[in-house]
Amino acid sequence: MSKASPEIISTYKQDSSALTLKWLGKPLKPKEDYRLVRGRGMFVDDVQLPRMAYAAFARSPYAHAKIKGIDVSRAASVPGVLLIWTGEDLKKRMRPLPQATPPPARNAIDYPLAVDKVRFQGEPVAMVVAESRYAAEDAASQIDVDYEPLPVVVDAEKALEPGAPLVHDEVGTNLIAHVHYKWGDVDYYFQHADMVVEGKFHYHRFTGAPLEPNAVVADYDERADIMTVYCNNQAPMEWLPQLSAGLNMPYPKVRVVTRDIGGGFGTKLVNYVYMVLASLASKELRRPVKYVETRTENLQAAAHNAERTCYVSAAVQRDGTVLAIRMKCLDDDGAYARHEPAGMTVWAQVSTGMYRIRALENDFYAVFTNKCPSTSIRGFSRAPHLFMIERMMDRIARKLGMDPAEIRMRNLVRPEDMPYMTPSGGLYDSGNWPEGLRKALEAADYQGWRRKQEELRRQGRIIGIGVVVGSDSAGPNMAQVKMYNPGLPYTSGTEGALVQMTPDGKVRVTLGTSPQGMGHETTAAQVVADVLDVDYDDIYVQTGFDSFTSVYTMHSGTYGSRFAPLGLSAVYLAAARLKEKLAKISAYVLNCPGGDVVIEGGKAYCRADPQRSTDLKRIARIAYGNVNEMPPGMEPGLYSIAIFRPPFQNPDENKRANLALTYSYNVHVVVVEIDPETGMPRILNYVALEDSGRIVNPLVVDGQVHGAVAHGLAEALYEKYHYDENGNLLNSNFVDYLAPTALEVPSISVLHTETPSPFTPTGAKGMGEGGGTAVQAVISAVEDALAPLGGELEESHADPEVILRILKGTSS
Amino acid sequence: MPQFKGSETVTASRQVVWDFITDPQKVGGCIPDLKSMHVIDTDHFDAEVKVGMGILRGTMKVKYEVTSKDPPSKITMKMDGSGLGSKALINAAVELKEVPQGTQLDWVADVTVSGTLAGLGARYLNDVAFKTVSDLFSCVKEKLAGGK
Repeated sequence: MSKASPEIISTYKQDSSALTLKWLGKPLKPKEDYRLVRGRGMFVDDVQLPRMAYAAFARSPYAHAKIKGIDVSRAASVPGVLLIWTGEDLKKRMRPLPQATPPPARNAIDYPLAVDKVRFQGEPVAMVVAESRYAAEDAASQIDVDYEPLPVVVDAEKALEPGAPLVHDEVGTNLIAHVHYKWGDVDYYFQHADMVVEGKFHYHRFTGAPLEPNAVVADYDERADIMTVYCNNQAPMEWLPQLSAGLNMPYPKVRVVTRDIGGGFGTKLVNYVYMVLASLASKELRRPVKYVETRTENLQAAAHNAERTCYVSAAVQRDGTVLAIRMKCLDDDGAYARHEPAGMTVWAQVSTGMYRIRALENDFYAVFTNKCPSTSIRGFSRAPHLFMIERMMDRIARKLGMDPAEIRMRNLVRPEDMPYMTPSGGLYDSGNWPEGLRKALEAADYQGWRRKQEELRRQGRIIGIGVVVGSDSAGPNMAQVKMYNPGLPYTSGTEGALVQMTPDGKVRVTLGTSPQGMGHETTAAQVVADVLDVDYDDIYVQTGFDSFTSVYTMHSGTYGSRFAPLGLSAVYLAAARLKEKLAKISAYVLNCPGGDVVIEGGKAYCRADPQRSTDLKRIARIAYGNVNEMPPGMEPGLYSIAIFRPPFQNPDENKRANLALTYSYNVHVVVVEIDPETGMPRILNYVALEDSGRIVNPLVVDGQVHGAVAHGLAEALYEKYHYDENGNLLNSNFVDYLAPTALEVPSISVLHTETPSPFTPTGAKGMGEGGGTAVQAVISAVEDALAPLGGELEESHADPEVILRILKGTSS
Repeated sequence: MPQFKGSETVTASRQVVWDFITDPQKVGGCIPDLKSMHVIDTDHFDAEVKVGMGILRGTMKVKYEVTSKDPPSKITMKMDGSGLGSKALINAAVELKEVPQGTQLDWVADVTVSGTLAGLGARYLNDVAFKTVSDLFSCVKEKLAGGK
């Protein structure tokens, strides 16, 4: 809650002296797009192997039921069926999936196929592998399961009541984890504040809905005894230990490969259940096994975000200063803890939003319910949290008769306090946030719209203006999971890269990440081009991840907006080391006075005598072949491997730690008009300002901003899962689950401020998830429109029905 | 799921109606979109019925079971359907009363649908369920019209 100490700042400060700034910041054509726009992408379903067999699943129609028996005899008689497994068959072949939860939730037994009972609708009960997908689907539909329906719990608060149905009997409670945070003198501020403002909020259930569903091809090569798993997992290295253990094969025998991935948004972190199943089946059948989800399977059973309910109170001064926040929150994590309850801690880094709030307390619970298991959907956990804070800011402003932009300006962290330490130990790296807010307000003609709003209201038109600020905290410190389970073996957050100049003078790059459309090939190539000062077109970045060729750590992957802060930092380090070696060889070959050589424009020359020069291709040839021309004793080859390690600490005894390396900042100003007949909001103006540090490629950054806005406004207006009281998911297809199309997304004005991060060598910050700012902005605007009617929105989703009820005065 | 109710007046004697609704072959013949049936005994039969709701079309296997009988006025039955990644459970009770025109058949049915059908057909499931059950009993009325 003040400027960070010089000692802390110095541990985080990065050297960026190898940058030439010749290639960073340019709108270079994305390297991936050429193949993707021509339909030449290589997705899992494009993998075709000889003798490939196909998997399909029988899934539970019930949200909660005992499995009394499974009869596979009809299914087994379908021509072409090769294998049918139920949970009991799986039990003989693997151990349960490991649980990251503390006891007693750790006692939950989780297999990729249900054992004894089903816990959510769509849970796989049996797997069929057959000669064709048709045969597999036909057989799966003929598996007869004798169910005894059990009472269902679909409400997180009810799940904790005595006598609630237990999702996992062996756990004895539906509580997954409980954490209590208290940072700063919360009690003092609540005693002495001028007023206390309260609110209850609910962040609803939705998903990422990637165009490519979960998919896997597992190919066991009996001769080489190697299992190759083509998958679209976002962080395959996180799951390799489970895969290796399940298959009883060491890491060097299990090759995990990703190539193009058609979007992930967090949903593909937990598709390892299919990777395990397909791999086991491939090993059993000695044939490649493919599984690709249907859309209904994806929407019903892949991964949802955790719903969060918070009761919030704020200690506030009459001038609008927010002193402290106190909350009780409850996460509904669904039926299995496959990724969650990680969200209970991830949010801590932005617990006070972008504001100088002095103290914070949160009593936080995560629970099991009979719904699809949850994971980290775009904006993971920061988005629901920032939603609570931003909704409170609007409420406080209304209570004090202040303008919502003014109250934010009053409380924003000031540039002179950067790098700023939050009450929870979060270290906001850089930025001039009030300036960003001013710039966005001006670009949106905020004052003009306020005047227009008054005029139009007099004409009976319902106009609302939303102004919110948010953060894309990026590059996670994995040690945060120790806050709910101190025993977990995760610390820091690292990433690897290989930069190799090949003997022809071109540059080959492999990454530890597995991108899903974020332009990693492009931005990595720009960083390498910038550091080596070679042509962008001479840099070849391997598509996707391959555990046999990529440099990785156990943190590797693409999640948590981590590529710019961690991945590009590894690329920078590897390129900088390669440049040093190139310089040493060049200085020797050119016999430069004092060994002083300059690498520039794909060439090397002596600083003292620029006429003495060579192109780098010659140096590369020497390094690999003509090695006796190299400096004596120097190791041949031009391989450069780097692992970037941020100076993250583990949380201390008060659960204080910096949990992300960079903090992008964004301001969204949106104007909506509500149709009084239909309750449908229409967006009249959308301005999104982003400060994501140094911009590596503006095309990539703007594309990410567009995506985050599209996703966020769809969550606010279209995308919401509806479960009935029996745990039936009522919208499991794209007719009923309304993913946005181009028609729903308005024209967006994207603006930038550019404050390089001092904590990454490139100055770039992570961005792309957007921190849910668009959700906040749209809800804020809708509520602003309804404010004269006294309407306040509790949820992060406002469909026309809710708005109409407020307009008609039948609900508040 | 809600409870559905209906009433039919059949121009036949109560005994005739009773004999009809306790004969699996006859009741089976009144199940809408029946594809096939296999009688196990007077109180049990298995059937396959065609189901179509929106884009979801296919076959459900139905196990029919008489759960109680109080001749000639009361019978309860259970129809347990599965298929299309879904379950449909119907618990129905039928009461027969003698009236001047013949027999009054009052029925009440609890329908529980789970799985894909429940999700896909969320908006019109009630209508389809009601229509399916009421078609069954209006069929009984038609087949017995004029019987003694």
